[in-house]
Amino acid sequence: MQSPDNNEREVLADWVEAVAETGDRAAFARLFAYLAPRLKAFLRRLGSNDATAEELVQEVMLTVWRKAASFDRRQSSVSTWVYTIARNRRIDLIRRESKPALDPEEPLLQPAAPVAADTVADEARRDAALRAAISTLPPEQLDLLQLGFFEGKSHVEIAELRKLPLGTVKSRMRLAFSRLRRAMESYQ
Amino acid sequence: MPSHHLPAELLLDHAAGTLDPALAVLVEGHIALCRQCRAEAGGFMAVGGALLDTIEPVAMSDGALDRLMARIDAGDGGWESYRRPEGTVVSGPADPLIDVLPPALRPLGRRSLARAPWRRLVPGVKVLDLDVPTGGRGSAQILRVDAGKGVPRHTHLGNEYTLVLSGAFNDHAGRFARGDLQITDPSVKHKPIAEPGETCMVLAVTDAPLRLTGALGFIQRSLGY
Ligand SMILES: [Zn+2]
Repeated sequence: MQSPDNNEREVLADWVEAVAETGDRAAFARLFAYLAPRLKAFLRRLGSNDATAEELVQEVMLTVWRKAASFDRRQSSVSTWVYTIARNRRIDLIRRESKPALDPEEPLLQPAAPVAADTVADEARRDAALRAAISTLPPEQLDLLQLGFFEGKSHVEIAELRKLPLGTVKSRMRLAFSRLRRAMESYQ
Repeated sequence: MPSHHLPAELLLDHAAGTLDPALAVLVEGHIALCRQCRAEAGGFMAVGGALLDTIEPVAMSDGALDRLMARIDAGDGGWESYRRPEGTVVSGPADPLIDVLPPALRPLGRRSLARAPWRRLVPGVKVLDLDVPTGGRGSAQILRVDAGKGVPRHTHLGNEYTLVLSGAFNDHAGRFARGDLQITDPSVKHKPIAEPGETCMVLAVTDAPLRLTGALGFIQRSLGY
């Protein structure tokens, strides 16, 4: 799959703004068509079954509808904003499962607010640089990055899963990180 | 600006949402105090967004959008709506800890102080257990070390993560001041000493409980620490 180019990035942002400003259902339907199948794929890789994944996608997209006004295209891409919502929803669920007796209003259950982008001069260019770096990662490094992100695997678990020595997993991860960090560096 | 930062693995786990709650508190604490790691944390979140764009989509079931629109029309607020609104004040005793905590961690500080008071660990060192679940046998505590005093020499079964909230301490690895993060693995036996002049408060999270070594070990055991 190709990641959206700069123009697509702007189109997605336009749709979110249309939802925020006028409750534009057609724009929301287009967002849903783009985002929901990707979110579902993400949640399936995290180990949710089909029904649970769909339910979570519905929750995330409901938040997209309700919180559209809080999206700021200067701070992040739509994909990153939605990724953050899905991540927070997942943290929320795991914490509830691990301590079901908790009061639902327990502040502990509130994952921290998205990181403020007070620090990035040009988020769009940093995002583009990151995407370029990701697209040129050697496949074995991209695989480990995806396992870390999408399946929440630790280094030890990845080593077992891929039948690699732990040292190899660690050094590949380090290589991937340093490429990503170098790509980000000039923009922060 | 802190000089000891988050390693990339913690930034990835933070962005992936896979940190255990105690470690998540520590990472959020450093991010709140460190502009550089705040920017990097945002970058790792953007990696998550980019990976989401490149994932092979899985089709939703028929009628999924219609069902969602029906929920929206029915005024369903979803999971966000039963969370406490931001800025809600959790009451608790006044304590110098609250002033040195980043705002996002203050509710946790207040709740912890309301649950149990500071305990004396050794002369010059007090400890407060944080009201947050810890992974496995780990711990999450605030240590308040009087100026010039030290935490007894100790080792730990797992990694120990220390975030300085006020003052500064020194140990074999150097000087650590507000915002600095120190990570020590189980092989390290260290004895941090608070600098003269200011109380040093740190947030300390361990994968497994720390163990005092030497003569003070028996005090730890008698205190149930
Ligand atoms: Zn930092």
